[in-house]
Amino acid sequence: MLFNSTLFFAFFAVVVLVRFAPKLGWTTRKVLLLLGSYAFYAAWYPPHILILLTSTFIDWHVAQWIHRSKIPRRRKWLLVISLVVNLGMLAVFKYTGFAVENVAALMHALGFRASIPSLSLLLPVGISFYTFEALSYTIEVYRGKIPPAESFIDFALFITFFPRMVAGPIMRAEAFIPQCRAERRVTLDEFAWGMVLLVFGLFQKVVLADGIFAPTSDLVFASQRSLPWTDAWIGTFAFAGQILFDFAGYSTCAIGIAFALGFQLPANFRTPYAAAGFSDLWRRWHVSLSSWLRDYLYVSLGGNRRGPVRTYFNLVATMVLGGLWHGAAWTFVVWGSLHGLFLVIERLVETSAWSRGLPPSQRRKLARALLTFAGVCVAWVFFRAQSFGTALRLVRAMFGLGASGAEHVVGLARAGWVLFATFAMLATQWFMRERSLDWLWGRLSTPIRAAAVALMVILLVTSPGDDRAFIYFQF
Amino acid sequence: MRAVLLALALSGCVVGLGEVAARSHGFRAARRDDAGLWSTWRQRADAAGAHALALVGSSRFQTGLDPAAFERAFPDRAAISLAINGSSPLPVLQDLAQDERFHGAVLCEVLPHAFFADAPQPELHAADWVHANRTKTFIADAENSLRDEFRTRLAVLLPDLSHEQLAQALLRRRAPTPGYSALDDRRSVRADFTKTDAASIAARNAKDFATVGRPLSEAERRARYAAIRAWVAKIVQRGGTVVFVRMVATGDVLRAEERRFPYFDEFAREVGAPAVSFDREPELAGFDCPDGSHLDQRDRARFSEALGAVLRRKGWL
Repeated sequence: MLFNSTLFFAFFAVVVLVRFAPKLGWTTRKVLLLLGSYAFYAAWYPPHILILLTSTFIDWHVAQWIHRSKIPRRRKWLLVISLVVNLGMLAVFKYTGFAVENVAALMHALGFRASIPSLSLLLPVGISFYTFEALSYTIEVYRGKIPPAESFIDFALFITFFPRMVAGPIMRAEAFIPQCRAERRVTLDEFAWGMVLLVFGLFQKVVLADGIFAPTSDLVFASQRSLPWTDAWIGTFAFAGQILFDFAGYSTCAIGIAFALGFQLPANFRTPYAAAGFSDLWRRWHVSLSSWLRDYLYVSLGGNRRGPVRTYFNLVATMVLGGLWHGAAWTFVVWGSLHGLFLVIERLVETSAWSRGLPPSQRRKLARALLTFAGVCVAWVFFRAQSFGTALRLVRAMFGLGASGAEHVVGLARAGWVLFATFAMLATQWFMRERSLDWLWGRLSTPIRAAAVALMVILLVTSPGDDRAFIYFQF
Repeated sequence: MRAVLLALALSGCVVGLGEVAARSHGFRAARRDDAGLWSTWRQRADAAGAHALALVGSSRFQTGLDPAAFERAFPDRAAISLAINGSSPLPVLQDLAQDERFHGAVLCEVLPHAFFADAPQPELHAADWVHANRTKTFIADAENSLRDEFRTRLAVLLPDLSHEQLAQALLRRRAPTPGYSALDDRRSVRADFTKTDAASIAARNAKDFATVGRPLSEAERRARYAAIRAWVAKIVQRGGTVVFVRMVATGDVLRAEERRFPYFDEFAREVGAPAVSFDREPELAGFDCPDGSHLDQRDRARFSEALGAVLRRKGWL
């Protein structure tokens, strides 16, 4: 069930009725919310609920046992069980086909003629998100930073809470479970703000991502021909806009729905295309994933505590694994590697004597933001392209190395429209760089607020409704 | 809260006014031809058993064939339009062949650039709909039904009134007008070319058809024929029939197709299934496509009856 589906609104209406129905206890409400979350998940493929339940039951018990045990060796083995179960499920469903394919290719390259059947399992929606949440819980209990959850219902709701379970934000137990302990009263104004966020999230997804950017991005990335450099850049800008508004739109919807129901989720996007540098980018883009990777992978590998060379290795390794988290394909590995490389280059430049001598200036920051955006766009080509061939053809075209006399696939009007939309996106991101949506909302008068929301609702209601799933659902 | 209530009232008023304006300009709410609607008809093709007559093709089939006319010609058949606009018929033919529940007859359009060229887009489009039908859950059906409730009531939801169309109309400073084609209850399309500039569409079509797809090499064509032969054999083994039909094209579109893809006879010979081409049968002569590629709604019933007569004369249906 997608947030941008008609059915979701019927489902959400029922959830709101249950959440605010009088004379129901908090535990009853939580149980109903949990059942609703399972129903929401089952809408994709009911049998996959078993995987979700497996993860929930095992991590619940493992964390309890870790907490009770005083024997370090035993605690470590219990943690290993959680890691094996969660990462194992992820590996089986997400990476088996990829591994089999590569083994077959390797055997073929080595001259073996054995026939290895291809394997394709239906990927459970949201598995990359909820397994990371479950893992962070057991790791934190193991590290002694949080106690295990007191109530199974609270823990199950932490894993399954429907607004964020399929595409994040990836929540930490210490931020969510305390919210389940006691009911938070939701005022009418808070409920309305949640709805405004839902409308704004849907507007980003349906109108901006699907309506304005996706058609051009689809056109360019589906092209089998060599393209002129203008088309290659415009297609890549279009994808940059599409993925930002698609994913940030989902996160905004999730935050809004949760807020309306009395739960607070962390911000997942902080105007990422206004980032001045790649380390800044990763503090602004998919914040819940990058902080997860930092805390549980980069720091565990030694972070920056073991000298510069090891730091660079850790950066690249973290980004490569981050790339693989997005999808089982070599194009994602290249995308992650490029970001790792950008981070290393940035660190090298920042630590150079030349760079340290430069005084800070707003103009330099803007130039750096534009350079970062250009680098991000080059990396997006590998993220979006279906194959290496397409990605390389596009990157070559972007740098003017494509076939001469290549024909345009993007018409003049469409190109102008995408360039205008990209400029507006970057300008807005820059303006909102140090500001938040709450700040902006607080400065608007009631009629302007009403007009803005009405405009978004009108554009949403009259949008084509192409049923595009959120891009991050496939991860 | 006040701003939200005000916004809801405001948007309700604007959408309401838009609906009134749309209706006054002749727009009528209609069901949209999407993967969900196609899926409903695909299920009917299975449910109709041996009586099913699946019409598998592109927009040429959708505009040129009248399911009701076929049912009049073959009263024991349930004609089901599975044609998909802008697509290749091949993924749907393959889907029917692989579906053990399908036992009916198939009229499959031989669309030259889909059969004799490498044109990934049309093929992907049809394959997407086939995939959506195979993997859908009851939730997808519920969503489609719910959406249809709105789409069949609100004219502002018509694709002709999409944001892009409205922006273009605004730039041209001309109010949008209803399109020249409309989907009917049988998932076929009625195109009234008197309501549009058919000559300019014909010129655009001629240009498109002169370049669409990379013509297959002889070896590639033979491989494709072998695949189609295997699909046909599967349907025939289950008691079904497949008849291939080359639809009418005229003018520069026809010339471009004949120049680039003169392979219909080779195809018919290699696949070995019944095959009809509009230019070989006297009953199908004299039809004109105003845009070079599609029949007008005034000709669809007559063409379908004529095609039915050919199929009966040859004993293929």
